[in-house]
Amino acid sequence: MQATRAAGLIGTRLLSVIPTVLIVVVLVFLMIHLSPGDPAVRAAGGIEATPEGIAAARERMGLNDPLYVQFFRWFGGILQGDLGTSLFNSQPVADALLERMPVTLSLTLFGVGFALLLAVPAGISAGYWPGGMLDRLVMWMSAFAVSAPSFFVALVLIAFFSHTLQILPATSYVPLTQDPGKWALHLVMPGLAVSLSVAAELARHIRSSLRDVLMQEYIRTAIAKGVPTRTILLKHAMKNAAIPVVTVLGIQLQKVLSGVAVVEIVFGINGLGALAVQSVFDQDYTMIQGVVMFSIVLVVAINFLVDLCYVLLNPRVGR
Amino acid sequence: MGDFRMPRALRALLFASCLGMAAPALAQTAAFDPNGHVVYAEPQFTDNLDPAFALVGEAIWPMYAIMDRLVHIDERANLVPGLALEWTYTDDKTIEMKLRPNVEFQDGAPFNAAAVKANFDRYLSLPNANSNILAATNSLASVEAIDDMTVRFNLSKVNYGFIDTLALTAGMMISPAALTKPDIDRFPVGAGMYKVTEVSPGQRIVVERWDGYWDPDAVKAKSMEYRAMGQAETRLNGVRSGQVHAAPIDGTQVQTARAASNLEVDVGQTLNVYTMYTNLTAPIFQSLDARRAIQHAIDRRGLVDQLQFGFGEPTLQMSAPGYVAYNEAFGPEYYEYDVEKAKQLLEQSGIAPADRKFRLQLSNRSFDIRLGETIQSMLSEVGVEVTLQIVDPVRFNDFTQKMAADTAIGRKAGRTDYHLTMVEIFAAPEDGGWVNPGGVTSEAQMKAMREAATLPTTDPRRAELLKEAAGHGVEAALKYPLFAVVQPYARNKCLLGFKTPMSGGMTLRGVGLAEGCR
Repeated sequence: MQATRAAGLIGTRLLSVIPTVLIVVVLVFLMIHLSPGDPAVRAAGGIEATPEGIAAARERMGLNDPLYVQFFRWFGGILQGDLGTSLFNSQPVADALLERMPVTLSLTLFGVGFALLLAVPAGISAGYWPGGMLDRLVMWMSAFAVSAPSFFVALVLIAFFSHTLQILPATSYVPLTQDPGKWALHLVMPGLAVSLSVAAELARHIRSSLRDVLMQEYIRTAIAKGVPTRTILLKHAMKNAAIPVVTVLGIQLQKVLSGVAVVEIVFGINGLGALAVQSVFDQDYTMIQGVVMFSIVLVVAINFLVDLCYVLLNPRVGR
Repeated sequence: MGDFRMPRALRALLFASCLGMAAPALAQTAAFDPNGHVVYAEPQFTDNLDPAFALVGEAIWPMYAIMDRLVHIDERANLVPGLALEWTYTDDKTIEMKLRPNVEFQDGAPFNAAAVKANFDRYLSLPNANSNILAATNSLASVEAIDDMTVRFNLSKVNYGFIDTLALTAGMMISPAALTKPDIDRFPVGAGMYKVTEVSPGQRIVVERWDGYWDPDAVKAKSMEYRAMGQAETRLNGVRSGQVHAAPIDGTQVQTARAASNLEVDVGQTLNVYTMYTNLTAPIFQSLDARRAIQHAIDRRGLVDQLQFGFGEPTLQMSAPGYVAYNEAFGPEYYEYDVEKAKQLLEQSGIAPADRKFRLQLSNRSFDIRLGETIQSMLSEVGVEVTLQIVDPVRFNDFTQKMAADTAIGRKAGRTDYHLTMVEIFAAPEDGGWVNPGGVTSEAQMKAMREAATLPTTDPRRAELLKEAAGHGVEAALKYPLFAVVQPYARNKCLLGFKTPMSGGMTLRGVGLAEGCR
């Protein structure tokens, strides 16, 4: 029954998402192509490009075709699973995305993992002992963490752990398949930099959500009946408190994915965020469009997962 | 991939216990580690390794390692033999070149005259190749293989700077069998020190030693990794933590780098000159007095000290003191910073106050904006109004092609052939002066340059004529060179053989890691 509800939910979501995706794709395409600058200039030699070279590059890149032709050519490729190739080399966009995806996903995993490790105990402590020292400490630290920009946190972490203590590497990424130990070591600081503001938001939501749940009558009844605190918290209260937190987590996950670019650049990690930034600077239209498409798919997937978790946590959803 | 190093104290303890002495700084005489993996970082490398289409506005250094060139550039910007042993102008439009024998490409094919001809036939068939290739082919009619190790270049017009083009991408030789490979832009087959093994566009290029290279002494590492790191802070962090062995840094970071115990800072004079180019048809530039007034109003030493933290050499020419074609009689003191003199010259110039203004195009890079704003402020002190037009760097051609501004700031990469640099800056567009919109020239300067062009680059009279041409340019205040770039590099002390290039880029010849370092 729950599976059927979940499937129905997913189907409904899919149908509603298609027009959104199409609008975003068209808008991004127009923004890229109508912004100042000409990628043909870079392809023809940058500042030393000649008018003839630029004209030939434009022809080679198909930039002289009307915008709608360029759009349908690209979109037609998308529908056939072809994201196109970089304007400046022969690398397929799909290859570039696949190459960088594990990097960003690893960073996101560490970021969210650290965030949960920090936020859950902090939020539970603050929510269970409201008004106490711990509660005030958690609120104060989360205010700081929310307002500190991730690049600032990154630089402080590097200065302390890498330059002063020399116990963590300051740059680069090592693939998991190459060396799991170094993979983890290289992701500690970037993951922490990404996680702090997420942890802060999560902690606050866990705190307030838990407080609300603990005020419920069924919890007071359980306390009165002598049910152990641990059971009350983990079996009864947390499950209900988690529902709004899951929503926040989904939103934070999307925030992490869009914000990793800065952290990737500071740490010299070549993930999707760094690819997106570099593609914009290079005016590599097909790469930008590919990254945008991928980002849309990712956001939609995250929203699906959030909704699915909702259904699992709250049987009343979808009825 | 660069390895992370254990804490310094523990490393020192182990080293001391093994050798019975305190961990010393490694001297350049230390032995090279034959299995070393060198990591070098730059803001960006070309994504395309095909010499014909490489993005020559970006770092092409990995290509030097993979595809050896006919001519090399030493660290003082002198041309020296590479795959070509010697070359002679048999007349002013014919060059005979003797090739280095017993050289093979990385696929085993022999390097010979036929291979050179095949490469140049390809370049000649590509009218839309990059500017480095066009600089060669625009004056090249054909290439002949005279015998197995001798080629003849038949020029279509007199060009005594042709050999200089062979020190860049035009001189990179690819195995003839690999010229038609579809992945030539990612895995070219050259005759260089290293073979390309991995290309991740925009990220890194990895090459490994090729044991068949003709100069084994140049190949000191087992492999090299060229890593793209856009931010200077990230590059320095990489060098400090041992993941990167060398990288260019900003002047603002030199003090921090020097304070790190495992780093050295190498500082190299370059032929790159920050210049304010001019379109001399603008009203304010019609008067020599007005042009000289602007020269006196710019505090070049102040620009270097405040914006480059002292890393630069003020100059009025397209080179710096010490360079063979630098005219010592026209040093920065020729137009010393003097606000009162500038005002006086402006008054006697005859330029109406309403015309004492010009538009200055800048790229949107933060340094260029700071530089432009500083110049704007300096000139406002003498009564010249400067309007800034900030554009994306790729729109530099708005100035050169569309004359959308009266001046533009750019960083000119000096050619090894100074004559070519002078042509690009001072000649009329139809004569190759691509940064001289408006085409206004000095006849005295052009005369000296034309005479210099008739002489081989090895003739000392050529340098004297180019000095004379540089002097005419300064006297006529045609352009506004500001300062020559002095480029600092942060280098791990483990890295041996590292030399800062004056021109042509980073070849990493003879560079490797010291034994005992990782």
